[in-house]
Amino acid sequence: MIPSKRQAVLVNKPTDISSLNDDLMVEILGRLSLKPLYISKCVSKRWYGLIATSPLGKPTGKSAGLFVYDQTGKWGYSSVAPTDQFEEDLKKALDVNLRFLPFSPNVMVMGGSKGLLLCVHGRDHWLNFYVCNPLTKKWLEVPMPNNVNGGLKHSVTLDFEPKVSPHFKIIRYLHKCSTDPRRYGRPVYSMELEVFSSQTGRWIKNRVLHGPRATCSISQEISLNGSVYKLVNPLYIIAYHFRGNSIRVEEIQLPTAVTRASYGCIGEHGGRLYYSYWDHTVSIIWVLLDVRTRLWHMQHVMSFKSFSAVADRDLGKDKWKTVMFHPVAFLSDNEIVFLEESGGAVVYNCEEVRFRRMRIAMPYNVTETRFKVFSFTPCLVDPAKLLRPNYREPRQN
Amino acid sequence: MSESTEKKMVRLRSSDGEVFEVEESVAKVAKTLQDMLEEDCADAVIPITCVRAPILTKVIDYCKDQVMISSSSSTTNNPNERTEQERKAWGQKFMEGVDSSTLCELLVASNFLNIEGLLNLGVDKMVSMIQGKYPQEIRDMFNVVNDFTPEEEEEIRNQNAWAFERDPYYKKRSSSK
Repeated sequence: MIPSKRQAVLVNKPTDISSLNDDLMVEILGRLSLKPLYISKCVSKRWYGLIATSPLGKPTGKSAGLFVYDQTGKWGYSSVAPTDQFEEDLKKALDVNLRFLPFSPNVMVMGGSKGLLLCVHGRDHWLNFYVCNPLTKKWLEVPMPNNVNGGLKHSVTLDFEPKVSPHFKIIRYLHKCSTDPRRYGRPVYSMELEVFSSQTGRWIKNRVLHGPRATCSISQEISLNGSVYKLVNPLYIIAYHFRGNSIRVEEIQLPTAVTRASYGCIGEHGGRLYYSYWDHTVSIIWVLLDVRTRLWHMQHVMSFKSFSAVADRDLGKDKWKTVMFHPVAFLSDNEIVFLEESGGAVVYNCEEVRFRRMRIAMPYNVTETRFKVFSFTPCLVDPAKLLRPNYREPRQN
Repeated sequence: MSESTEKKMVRLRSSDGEVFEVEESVAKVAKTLQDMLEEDCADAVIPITCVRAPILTKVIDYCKDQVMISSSSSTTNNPNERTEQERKAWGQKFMEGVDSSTLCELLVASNFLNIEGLLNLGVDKMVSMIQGKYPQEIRDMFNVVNDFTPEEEEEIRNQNAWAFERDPYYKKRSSSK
């Protein structure tokens, strides 16, 4: 039966691209390859704004390349698959040497997350942080932290997850303190953190309750879905969950312990946390299915014997022995990166069971293992535009 | 009420007042309608206020096809089952000849009705239309007003000059115009 009361009929206004909401537009623009995307920036202010503030990636969701950096702030970059058009375009657009920074070449890379890098101006200014985007060649000078005396030089993390928030955070781990046991009836540890958010434009000090494994030391860390995960050998991952101004810390037990004779690394792909365990008998990849219930799923297992046979085949007999079987990053859910002593890198694909080499343009040979790697996912965010308007614009030339 | 073997019908009314009668299973391809039907707002005519009749026809065509695939996919040796390639070809054919304003309407409709498959087809079509064109061609195609001043536009172009370099692919397109 047709209701007697007529439903309101929208005025027949011509439907064109302006009637598509932002989410739809981002979905469309996000599937463009790099060149048409840059061209689309010119179409109108709306298109420009959407492209400048939205994450941009390949349709496959794979990362575009790897940044490797170490304690001295030296870094190198390598693209993952230099064969396709996206990589070709990206190569022209990226400035991986960060020459656009005003204090180049005196740059130290301290961290990175998705498409942004955290840098400082040489070792004498290690609290004078800059956040930059090597794709848009834009940078932001972050105000000085309030606590200039506390904290280790290198315990600083950049957290940026465009899927969750357009804003980034910088986290400094100041120091660990134990709380008065009388208050809780048992020893409770806490950690002082200082967090800068581009949303507030300020550094805010936080004291978070922490398990006994609180550590300021350098270790592998990734940011994922608005949380930062640090790998703390031998048994735990410490997760910092940021919700507004509050921080919750939890310890997630690893499914396999990392011992002196084995290695582990964490990575992320498709919004999930991966953990890879290697020793001289077996390699295992786990995926964390549920953070709350801490449910790990064993994704891939391979014995070292068949592994070395594959290495013999793909990398040349015995040549692979210069590879340090210390996993450093995930490229996708089944590709793991290892570094070679010569400064190169190899990628192992678990699904296809094969190795391939990739070129990492390191300025020196990677001989020590205290370096970090992060998978770079290009985005067109301009860090300088993230701060609130009342924040003083840094000098930009 | 007795269990009837007869298929339950649902009536949908487009923004310009035309009423369409479709099987419930067809309507349920649209998640929005599925939710409504499960909450039992059946009997009456469901108004689809932001979708015109010609667009709704196209949407219903899509939904009917989805029902045809899924209903027969339970049986083995299904003649209607498509390989990845066939599905792609079907999608291309479905979107063939759709102009930019119809495409926008289709996108708005599939977004409102929450039909993921159709939305995907539409987005892919849109991407293929934007790919390989220069800003002015894109503006012309979608009736977008250029609200940049010439200086602003020049600046954006200069920032990413490499993207505007004429390569053979782009040259071919612009010279054919």
